[in-house]
Amino acid sequence: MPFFNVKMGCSQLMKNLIEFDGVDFSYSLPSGERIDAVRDLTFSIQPGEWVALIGANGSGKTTLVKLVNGLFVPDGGMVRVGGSLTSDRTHQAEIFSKIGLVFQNPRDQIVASLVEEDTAFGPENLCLPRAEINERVDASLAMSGAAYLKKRPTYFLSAGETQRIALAGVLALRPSCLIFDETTSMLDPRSRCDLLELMRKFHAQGFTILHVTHDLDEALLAERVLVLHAGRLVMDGSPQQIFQKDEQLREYGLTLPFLVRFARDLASLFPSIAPFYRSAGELLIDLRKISAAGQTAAEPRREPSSVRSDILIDVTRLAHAYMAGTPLERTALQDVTFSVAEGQSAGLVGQTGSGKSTLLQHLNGLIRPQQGKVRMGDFDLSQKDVDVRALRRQVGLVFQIPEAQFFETYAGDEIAYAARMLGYSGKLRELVQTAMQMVGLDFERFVDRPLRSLSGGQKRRVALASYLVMQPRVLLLDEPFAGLDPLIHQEMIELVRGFHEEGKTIVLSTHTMRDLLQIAQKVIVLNEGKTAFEGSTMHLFHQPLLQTWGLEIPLELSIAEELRKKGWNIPGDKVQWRDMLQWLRANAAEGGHAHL
Amino acid sequence: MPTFEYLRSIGIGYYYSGNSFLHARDARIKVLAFSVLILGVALTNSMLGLLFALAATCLGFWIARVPLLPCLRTIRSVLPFIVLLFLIQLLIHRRDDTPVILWNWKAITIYRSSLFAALRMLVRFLSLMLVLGLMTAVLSTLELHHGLELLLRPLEALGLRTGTLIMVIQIMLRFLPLLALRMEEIAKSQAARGAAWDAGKGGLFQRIRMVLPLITPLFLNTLQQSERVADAMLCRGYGIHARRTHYYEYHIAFADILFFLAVLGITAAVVFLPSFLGGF
Repeated sequence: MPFFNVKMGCSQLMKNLIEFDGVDFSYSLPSGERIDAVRDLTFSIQPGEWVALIGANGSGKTTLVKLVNGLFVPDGGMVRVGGSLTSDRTHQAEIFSKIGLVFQNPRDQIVASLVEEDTAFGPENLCLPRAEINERVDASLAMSGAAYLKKRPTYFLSAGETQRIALAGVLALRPSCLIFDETTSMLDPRSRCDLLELMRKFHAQGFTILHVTHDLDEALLAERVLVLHAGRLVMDGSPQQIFQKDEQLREYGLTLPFLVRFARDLASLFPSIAPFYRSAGELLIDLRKISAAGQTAAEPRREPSSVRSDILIDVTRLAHAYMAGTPLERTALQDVTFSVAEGQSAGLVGQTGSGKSTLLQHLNGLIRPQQGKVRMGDFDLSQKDVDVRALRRQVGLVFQIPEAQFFETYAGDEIAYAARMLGYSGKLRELVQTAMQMVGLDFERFVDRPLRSLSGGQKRRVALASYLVMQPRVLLLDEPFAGLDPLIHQEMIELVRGFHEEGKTIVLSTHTMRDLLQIAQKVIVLNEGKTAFEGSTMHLFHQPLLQTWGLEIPLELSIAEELRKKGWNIPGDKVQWRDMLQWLRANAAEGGHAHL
Repeated sequence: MPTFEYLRSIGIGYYYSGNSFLHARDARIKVLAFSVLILGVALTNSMLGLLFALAATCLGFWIARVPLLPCLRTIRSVLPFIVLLFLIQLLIHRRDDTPVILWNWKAITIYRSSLFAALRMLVRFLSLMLVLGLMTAVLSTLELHHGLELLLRPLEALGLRTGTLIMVIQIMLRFLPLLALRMEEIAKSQAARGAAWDAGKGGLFQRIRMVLPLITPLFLNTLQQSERVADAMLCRGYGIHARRTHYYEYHIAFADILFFLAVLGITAAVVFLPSFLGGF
């Protein structure tokens, strides 16, 4: 293992860009108690490396990042950047300009009201002469692909654009290392793809890249992967080495990248497929090389039987503008029409800023239609006198990152809030118990737990329970899986699927196309405030405009398509990998294709 | 229909990028000129002067090609408070030489001097709002920052850390709208769980009881966010050097001097114009 804990000699010391040596860091609570965030970290990163940092929620990734550029100073051990100790404040300017940090939420990084002014902020702080500031502003904006935004006010930008501006602001410091702290997690597939492409470009230009991510498929792009678990560095190696050890990964709350999982399964069926790929493209090319199947029986393509039941959600020609009548007026919805039947599960997708959250808020009356109609069962929300509280009792809207809105101290109280508000005080205990059961939290164990002490996944469950306590018929979920690590993400999907099977109508927005395959019977695509598509999930991925809408085809569907070209007629209703695989295995065993 | 768009009712504090005569003025001159005018409007006792300031500001909006309507809408949203202040002012009697009673009913007496004082307060408030609206419309955050920095630089000789003070001002301006947005988010999430935020029910007492649980997450979220913003600023080298260099080049042109003299003239008029109606 080339990088594993090599003790550096003095001559090699200068070669390291970043060096951690036995680093400890802990937070202190108001009670005086100290909580270890990272323990005994020892590793180093050479100039020009591309390193991915992965780990479950709460494993200490962000702390590590802040230790790298001196925002945190270690309690024990040493951190060196380019040979200088981060604890020595005289090197601060040098370290900040060497290490550029791009955060998760780009809006938190914008300080000025015009784009060019914002990009100039860093160079101004470094006391550079005006000519140089000018040159850096232009160069940085060009590098992040945002030159056309130079004269624009910063508050009118889309999420993808804001991300580019945040990046330009960092590039203007002329760093040699770029750290991306979960920067891709809030972006739609296309913006995410663009950002990864930029990272690739920067790496080719010689930048050192440290990419913190929950998306393990993104980690495959790196040359080296670091795994954190409970504040300790537990694995360090090439993606190929790391993603061989599934059991170890599971122990650390992680799993395999989808690409690796699929490649492994395919390799067991087709000898010409390797068990490991770093990019999906390579796997698809290799799939073209497998020998053709002797025509498996082409099963008639069964359309999922369309459930003919009552329309529950009916939206017609809905339009909405924020800040109407002010200089900041912004159209969120222009022309949205769709319907969802009782008991159906619908996915809502589209680029960031395409109006998904605005639409969901219309569905439980938080925003009332400015134009067009919204009908939820018997409630016509275009009517002024509609009883919105009665509506909300039936229609639960769970916001993005719902735990950010917690205001009680204990889990039980937080969950009980809605029941109290709606006057169910008599059977409070019973209702809270049922809600906690639905999300898989043990009542006795968790009801009196302080919210602060819960893990990321547990918090998300409490947040869900705090809506389920109203026993709604309809659940509206705004990006319910955002910011969760892969295993918890999968657990939450199972949970939501369970709600649907119990008969609840579900509408959820997501940026992850694979979620749609697992949950959604139908999909609504929003593009620039208009419904661009409404139909079954399978049909969506055959749409020619998919990329224009900022969406992508999940890898398993591309694999299935390649296999079909080779005569493996995987039925169209098999959209989940385990079903496809089962079918492939059954057919391979029957026809003996596997040993061609 | 009740809505949750708290931010919409605030029409003051937005920068309108443009290249009008007012936009193009030197940052220092703009900061200085508007400060002088604000002081003049705040201190004058002349009713005629206040009306003059009002007219001059409206002219300023026209020159800067900035719409006046959003500003007026903001004033409308705080109108109940102004009316309340007006009434209080009306009932306060100030001693003057010849008290003239306009109206008397039981214990309530309204004097002519109180009426004029109340009217003056009303016009003063309107003028101040409009001047502030115009200033923020033509002065970007970076200009404000640089303008103040250059103007206050002499104070550094006294050992004051003016840079920090200025950053505090800039960040505060940035956070006001964010606070409104956060408030909106939290109110919505509570409404989604049955709180009667927009259902039009509940008296004042109930409203206050609903606001209380909102305050904790509001401040917690805002603090967390400000920590993230502070981190991002530190990472971009803020605070490393006491002095910063400037992206824009500032030099005072003839037009700047002209503009400053004009504002000075307006301010002089605001302060020294005779108050009509016999000295009130």
